[in-house]
Amino acid sequence: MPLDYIPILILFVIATILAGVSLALPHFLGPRLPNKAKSEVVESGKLAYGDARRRVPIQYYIVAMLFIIFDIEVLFLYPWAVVFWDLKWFGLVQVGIFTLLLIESFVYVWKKGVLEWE
Amino acid sequence: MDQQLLVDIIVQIIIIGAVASGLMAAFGAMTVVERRVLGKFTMRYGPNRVGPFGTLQIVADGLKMFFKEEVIPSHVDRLVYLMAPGVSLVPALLAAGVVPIAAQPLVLPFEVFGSTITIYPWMADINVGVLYILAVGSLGTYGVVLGGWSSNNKYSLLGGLRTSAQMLSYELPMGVALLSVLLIVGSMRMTDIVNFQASYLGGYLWFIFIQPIAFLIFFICGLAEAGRSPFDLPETENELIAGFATEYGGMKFGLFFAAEYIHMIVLSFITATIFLGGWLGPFSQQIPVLGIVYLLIKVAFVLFLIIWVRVSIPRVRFDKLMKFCWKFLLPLSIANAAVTALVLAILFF
Repeated sequence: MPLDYIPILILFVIATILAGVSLALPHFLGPRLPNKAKSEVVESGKLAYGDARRRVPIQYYIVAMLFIIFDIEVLFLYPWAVVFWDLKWFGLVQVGIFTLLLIESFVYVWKKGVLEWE
Repeated sequence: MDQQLLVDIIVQIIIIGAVASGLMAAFGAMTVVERRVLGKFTMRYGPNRVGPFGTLQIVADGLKMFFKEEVIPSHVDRLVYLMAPGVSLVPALLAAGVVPIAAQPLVLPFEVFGSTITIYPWMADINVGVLYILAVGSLGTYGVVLGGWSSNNKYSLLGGLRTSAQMLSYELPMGVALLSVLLIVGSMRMTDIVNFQASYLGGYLWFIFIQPIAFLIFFICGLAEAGRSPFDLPETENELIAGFATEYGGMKFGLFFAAEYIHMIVLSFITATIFLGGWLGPFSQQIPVLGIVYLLIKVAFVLFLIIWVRVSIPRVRFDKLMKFCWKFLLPLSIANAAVTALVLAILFF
C-alpha cells in the first residue's frame, strides 16, 4: 500500500536535510585561509602528473557485468521465496531448473577464467 | 485532510526526526567506544581525557568537524564532489526505516486535539522489507563511486573503483543468504520475520540456530558492504592514502565517516532482528519494554563483534577478496539456499 511508504519519504527528506545542513554549516563557521598547496592534488608529497581520468582495468567492467546478470537472476528468486509455501513442488521444480541454468553459466564463467584477478 | 491522518503524520515526523538524530548521536558514541575498545584490546588507553572516561570526546570531535576550514581543491568536479558525501550518508540512514524495535504499537492513553496518538515501534512496516534493505544498501555505493571519480585524483579513483567492485560483489551472497531465511518465513516483512522466530520453541527459534551458515555469510558480507576491516579495502591507508576520501576534509570527510558508521550500526540492527530474534528474550512477550533492552544488547554484541574482528584479522589483499566472494561465498550461499528449499519441501510438502 502506498501509504506505508510515507514514513520512508519523511525519513528521506530528514536525512537529506541533515546531510545538507552538515555540509553547509562549515562554509559559514570555518576559517578561510586559501593557499595554492591546499587546492592541489594529494599524492603523498610528489608532484602529480596528468589527469586521473585514465584507462581502468577491464576486470572492473567484467565484475559490473557479472553483477548485473547474477543480481537480476537472484532477484527472480525473491518473489518465489514469498510464494514458496503456496506453490509447493511446482514452484520448487521450476526454480530448480532456473537455478541449474544459473549455476551452469556460473561454472562456464569460472572455467573461462573470468573470476581470476591478475 | 482528515485530522487523524494529519496528527499521525506529525507524530511520525517527530519520531523519525528523533531516530535520525539518534543514529547520528550513536555514530558519535560509536567512534569513541570503538577507539576505547581498540585501546583495551591493544593495551592502550584510547581517548580518556575529555570528560569522564573520555565520553565528551564525542562533543569535541563533532565541534571540531563543524569549525574546520572548507577546502575545495581546484581540480575537482565541484557539484559531484560536494554531493557525494550526502549521497553516501542518506542511504545509510534510509536503511534504518524498516527495522522494528518492539512487537506492538503503543497507543497513548490520552487524546491530543481530539485525536489518539499511536507510537509505532517501526518507521515503516512495508511488505518488501528485506528487499528494501538490500536495495537501499546498494545505493550507498553511488556516494563512494561519485566521490572517487569527482576528486580527479588517482588514489581516489582507484579507491572508488575497488569499493564499488567490492560492494557489488558482496551483495550477491548477502542476498542469497537472506533468501534461505525468507524461504522459511515466506514473507519479506521484517515484523513477520521476528514474529516467526517468536512463535516456535517459546520464542527461541532464532535464525542463527537454524541458519548458521546464512548468518555467517550475511555477517561477512555486511562487513564488506560497510567497508569494515578486514574488508576496508576502499581506505587501505598505506597504499591509497585514504582511498575515495583522499581529497576530502572537514565535515565532507565527516559525512563519509558517518555513513560508514551508520551503515555499520544499522547493519547490526538488521542482523539482530533477522538472525538474533530482534526484541525476543526472557519475559519479553509479557513486558514489551524489556524487548527494546534485549534488542539493544544484541546490537551492542554485534557491534562489539565487528570491532573484535577489526583488531584480530589483518586486511585481505584485493584479488583474494574478490576470489573469496565469487569462488567461495557465492557458491556456498547458493548451496545453502538450495539445501534449505529441498529440506523444507521434503519435510513439509
